[in-house]
Formats: sequence, C-alpha cells, structure tokens
Amino acid sequence: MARLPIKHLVEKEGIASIFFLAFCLALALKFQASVGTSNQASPVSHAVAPWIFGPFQILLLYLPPRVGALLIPILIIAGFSGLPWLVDVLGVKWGQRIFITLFCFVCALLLWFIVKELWWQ
Amino acid sequence: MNDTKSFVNHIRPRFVSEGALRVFYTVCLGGLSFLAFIVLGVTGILLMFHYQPGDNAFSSVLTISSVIPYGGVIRNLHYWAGQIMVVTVNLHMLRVVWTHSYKPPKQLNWLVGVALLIFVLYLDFSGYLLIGSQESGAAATVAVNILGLVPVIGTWLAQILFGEPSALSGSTLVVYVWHCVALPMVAFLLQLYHFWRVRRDGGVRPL
Repeated sequence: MARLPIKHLVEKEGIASIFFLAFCLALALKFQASVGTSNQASPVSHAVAPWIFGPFQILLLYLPPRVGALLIPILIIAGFSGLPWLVDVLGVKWGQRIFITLFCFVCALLLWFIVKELWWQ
Repeated sequence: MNDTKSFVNHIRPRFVSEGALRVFYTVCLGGLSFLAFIVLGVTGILLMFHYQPGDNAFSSVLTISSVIPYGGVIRNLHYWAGQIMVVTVNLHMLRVVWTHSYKPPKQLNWLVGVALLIFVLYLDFSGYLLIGSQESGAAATVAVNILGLVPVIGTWLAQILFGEPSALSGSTLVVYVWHCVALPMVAFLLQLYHFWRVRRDGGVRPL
C-alpha cells in the first residue's frame, strides 16, 4: 500500500478537531448540564441514574444484586475482553456474533431505561 | 533518549499508509475520543480552581454554574465532552470489531482498549458523584453496596474507590483524587501506549 507524508493525516485530524470542538461548544452553549437536587431539599423519592448507567439500573431493578450488578456485568466485560480469543476458538463469525449479542443486550437495556425512566415519566 | 525518539517516531512517523487517511475507515473515532479527553483535562483543571470536594461540593458546583464568569459554559463543556467521549469510545470499539482490527497481533491493544473503556466509565461515574447532589449520594450508596457483595475484597475495594460517602452526597476526597489525578494520569499513559501499539502492530490499514 502507498505511503504518504504524515502532513495529510495531520490536516484531516485538524479538520475533524475543529468540527468536534465546535459541536461540543454548541452543546455547551445550548444545553445546561444538570446539577441534580440539593441535599438541603426534601428527599427525592426516586433517583434516576445518569443515562450511561441506565443499563445497570434496569438490571438492579429486576434481578438480584449479585446477578444484576456483579455476574452479568462481569460476563459482559469478559466477553468483550476475550473477543480475539473467542474468534480464535470459534471462528470469526461466531466470535463476532457473541460480541454483537452482548453489545446489543447492553443497548437494549439502555433503550429500556430511556423509555421507562426518561421518556415515559 | 533513543527510547523517547523511537516512541515519538512510532506515534508520529514521517510517513503513514494510505489506508490511515481514509476518513470512512476509522471515522476519526479514536482521535476524537482523545481530543475529548484533552478537552476534559483542560476544562477539568479550570473547574478545580473553584470546586470544593466534601460537604461544600454542591454549593461550589452552583457557584461555578451561576456566579463564576464563564463557569457555566466551562462546566457544560466538561459535561458534554464527557458524554460524547463515552459515545465515541463505544463507536470506536464497534469500528474495531467491524474492521477485524482486534486480530493478531493486536490482541494486547484490544485489551488496553477495553481497560480504557472501563476507566472512562469510572471517570464518568466519579464525575457524577462529585456534583454532591442527593442523586449522587444515592448513586454512591448503591455502588458501595454493590462492591460490598464482592467476596473477601468487596468492602476494602469500596473504601479504596469511594472512601466513605454519605447518603446525602457522593463527593468525598477519595473520589475527587481518583477523578482529578489518579485516573486521568493512568488513562493518559494507557492512551499513549494504545497509540504507540497501533503503529507498532502495523498501523491502521484496511484489510
């Protein structure tokens, strides 16, 4: 494959960086980051996790803590970490299927959380 | 000296393969994640001038957001860069799987990437705890209880990662030090190793 001077890569990285910084700044100017509820206020009856940890909240809601908060997350992380070796043993097709299944499972939990806690409320 | 030169040459070689320049091959997701990390570092340092961990955490966040000039924008930028970083890191992982870039000899770099994903998630979580709100207190309590379920080392692990958060505020000095010093330093070094390893293992190239 042909090799080109790195300046071409630097130019593309520069353009991507400008767009990215403009996007971040636009979000920062338009949308306020939440500060939550003061601990001087009356207690909140139902705390909602940040969206990133939504899948955790759903698992904890419906499964025993040992399964939902320990076993399943550890299995997911082990599945992600072991992908190169899964592919070695099971072949690319099955190895990637396992990875995609785990990833879709997390995404489905996130969607469930968004519908239940953020959209439905 | 030679080691430093070799390291820099690996991260920034004089020539790169044509494949590394295809925008729609990498979609710049790894680089954008690093850029988000830099934005988080810069805005984080600015926030540290006014933030106070512990009992005054929530009031200092309110001060930053509404009293300090441009404090609100800097805090918003810190928040949104953090959210975007989680998204770009996950998309980057999907891209790596899509292009089979985890295959030999890149297994070690794949593991480094998964470790970085876990670091990013903990950085995000510890940042949430530092707000010091009721919700962050509840989140810290849940996290400590979950770690308490880990046999033998659970309580010890919770002490190391979270200190002793109260139900009213997740902000502790321990979380503050993890979020502002220890984790960013480790994550930064791991990212440098990650980039070096990319070049070392043959660079970015379409299969």
